[in-house]
Amino acid sequence: MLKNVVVTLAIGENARQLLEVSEPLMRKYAEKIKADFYVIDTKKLSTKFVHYEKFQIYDLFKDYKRILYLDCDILVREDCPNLFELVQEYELGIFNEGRFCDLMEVVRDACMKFKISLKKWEQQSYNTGVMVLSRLHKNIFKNKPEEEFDVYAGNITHYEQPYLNLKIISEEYKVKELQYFYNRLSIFDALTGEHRLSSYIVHYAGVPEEVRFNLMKEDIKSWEESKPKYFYPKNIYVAIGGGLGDQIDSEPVIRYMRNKMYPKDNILISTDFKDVFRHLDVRILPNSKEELRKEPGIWYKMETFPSPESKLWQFLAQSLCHTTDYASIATLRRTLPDQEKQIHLKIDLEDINSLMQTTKLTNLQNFVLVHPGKGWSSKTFPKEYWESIVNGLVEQNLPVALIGKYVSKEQGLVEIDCPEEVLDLRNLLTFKELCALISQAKVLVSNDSAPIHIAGAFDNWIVLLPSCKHPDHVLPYRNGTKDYKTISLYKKLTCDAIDSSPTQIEGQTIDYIVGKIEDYLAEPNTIIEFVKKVYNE
Amino acid sequence: MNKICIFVVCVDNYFPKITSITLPAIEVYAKKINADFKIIKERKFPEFPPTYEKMQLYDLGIDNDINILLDCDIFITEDMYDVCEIVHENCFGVWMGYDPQLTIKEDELLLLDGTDQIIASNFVLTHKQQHNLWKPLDISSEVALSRMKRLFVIDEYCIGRNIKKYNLSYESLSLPGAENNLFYHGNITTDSLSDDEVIKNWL
Repeated sequence: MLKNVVVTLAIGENARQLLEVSEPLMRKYAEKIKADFYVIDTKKLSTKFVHYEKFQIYDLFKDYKRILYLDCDILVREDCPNLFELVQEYELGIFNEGRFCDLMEVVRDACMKFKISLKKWEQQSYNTGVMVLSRLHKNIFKNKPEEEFDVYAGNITHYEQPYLNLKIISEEYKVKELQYFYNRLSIFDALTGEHRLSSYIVHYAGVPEEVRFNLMKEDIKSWEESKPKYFYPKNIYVAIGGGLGDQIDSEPVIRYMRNKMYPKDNILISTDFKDVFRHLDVRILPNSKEELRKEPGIWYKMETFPSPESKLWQFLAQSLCHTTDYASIATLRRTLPDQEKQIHLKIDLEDINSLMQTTKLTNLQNFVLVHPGKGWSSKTFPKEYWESIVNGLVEQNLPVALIGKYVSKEQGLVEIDCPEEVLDLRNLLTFKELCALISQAKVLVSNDSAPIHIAGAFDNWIVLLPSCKHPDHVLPYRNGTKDYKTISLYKKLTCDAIDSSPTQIEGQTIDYIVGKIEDYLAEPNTIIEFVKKVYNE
Repeated sequence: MNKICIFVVCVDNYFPKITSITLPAIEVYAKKINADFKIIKERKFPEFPPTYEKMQLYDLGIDNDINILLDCDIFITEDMYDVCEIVHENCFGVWMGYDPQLTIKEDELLLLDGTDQIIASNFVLTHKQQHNLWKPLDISSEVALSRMKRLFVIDEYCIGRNIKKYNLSYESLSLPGAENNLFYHGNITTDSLSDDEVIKNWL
């Protein structure tokens, strides 16, 4: 009965040198999968181009049933699965590089030079460094006259690969696309954040000759040291964007990445608000591209808030979507299960002590916190409006505290008069102290701004006064729902007035009020009555 | 596990030199794909040419999940893939098809204007859903034979009518590179070759 064989090609000094390194691993693998091992080491077909000796495969099918072809600049890890078992006999096993890089010009050039037209081309460009073949595929390697290969004399990139591609595609061979870790090329460093040695078959194509030989030797050594687990952590970098509220909403996404998706890998984040993520086992960079460049290794990069040039912006408007969902779609290409969307923030004893020292109070429970936030004009309410809410709450004998912070002229707080009975904590608290305070409070009343998202980590009542984004896209998830101890009080929203249909060409914004702000806001009495009701429950 | 059977029609001591090579090879292939192997030797339809005995599959294969019909002058190598894995359950598998105008003078079901195709019956695979492909003709032998330009493909005429009648779909069971590499067809009757010529071609 005919056997299978692992074949490689090594003609010339450089190739023989590489084979010195790769051959022992290939032989070992061949032995493991009960295949012979054969080296094409003599020119028989072409006087010019060594790569075309690959076509000697045609004759090898006289003696062998199936062939696994490997370029000589390939290392095979000893635990690599048997590719003859992964690929059916009637399939051609090969890696489709075309899914990950644009090789259209190479394919088009090959079609012209070899006068082969492709009826149907789906961007395939197969890398012929690893091929799992059977006799069904023999004719792909039917020897061509040397003069036909001479068309490539002026272009030695890709060598025989384009011709083989045309044969495979035009003659419609049934292909089983191998996964990237069976022909791991350097393009996957940035595409996956994975170290190349976490792959079974590593292909050193494109690595400079002066470096390749030693690199292969070092890599073999690394495999020896890391077996049997061969664990090489991925490098994942996430740039967390947006304001404080947006970054707080991204916390569940980073947490999910750490706990579920990449539990053992390196996660590096950049954020303006490191305290939001301090409880997570991730490294934090200040928000700077320069800092990432200093990090060793290659990082798979994600952004929770990609730029307007990104594809995501074309089909998903952040202002018409929950920020946690937006951040998870942007990074993980999915939304999280509702239970996973709950925000976690760390509060420790030190934070509470610090809060007590700042406020000079020991009992900070039971407060009604009011946050008269300032931001877009569509969520900046009149001074009088807030004052009537605060005064009304005081009249109901509720303990009220004002919170908030000046950030800039455009952002922060609406300056309102603070009655004597009200605890004025504006511009006094650090982020940690604010979190500690909100964790203790009974009720929070706020416009659409950061404190609403902070409250998502705790168990108090949230009274949201939305005016632009829909409350479903603002309220935090708690216990798997946005309805847990929340209410939204409003008359209308700026988002209701915009045209978000796909046929809308010009972008629209929810940042501005059309008409009078008072038309959007709930009556202060409604708010006061509700707060009184839930406070006394 | 599917019940599969490969059928070969070999009646009237058909080219023994060829079949002494092909039948054992087909048997090996049947074993490879966990199929039974049955040689149809007896004539049940003496009023038709011997090729029509292929329609015995209708009764003989009725309980099988998959039936494969091979001409007895097809040589299958041991490297041939399992055709059952290639053909989807909702169609039957064929090696080749052709324009019925080549072999049929007239028919009320088949269009002879180039629209319809009928299949060659030399290498066919059917699932249970397509078993009606093998149903014998519902017209008399005299009428059927009078419609043929080439009598010996009467089986393909019957199959062609069944494809139309039962609205059956088919797809190729031959992958690129398989023909004349993994299996070879002697095509003795069509090409009027001698058995020595066929064997020489294979070698």
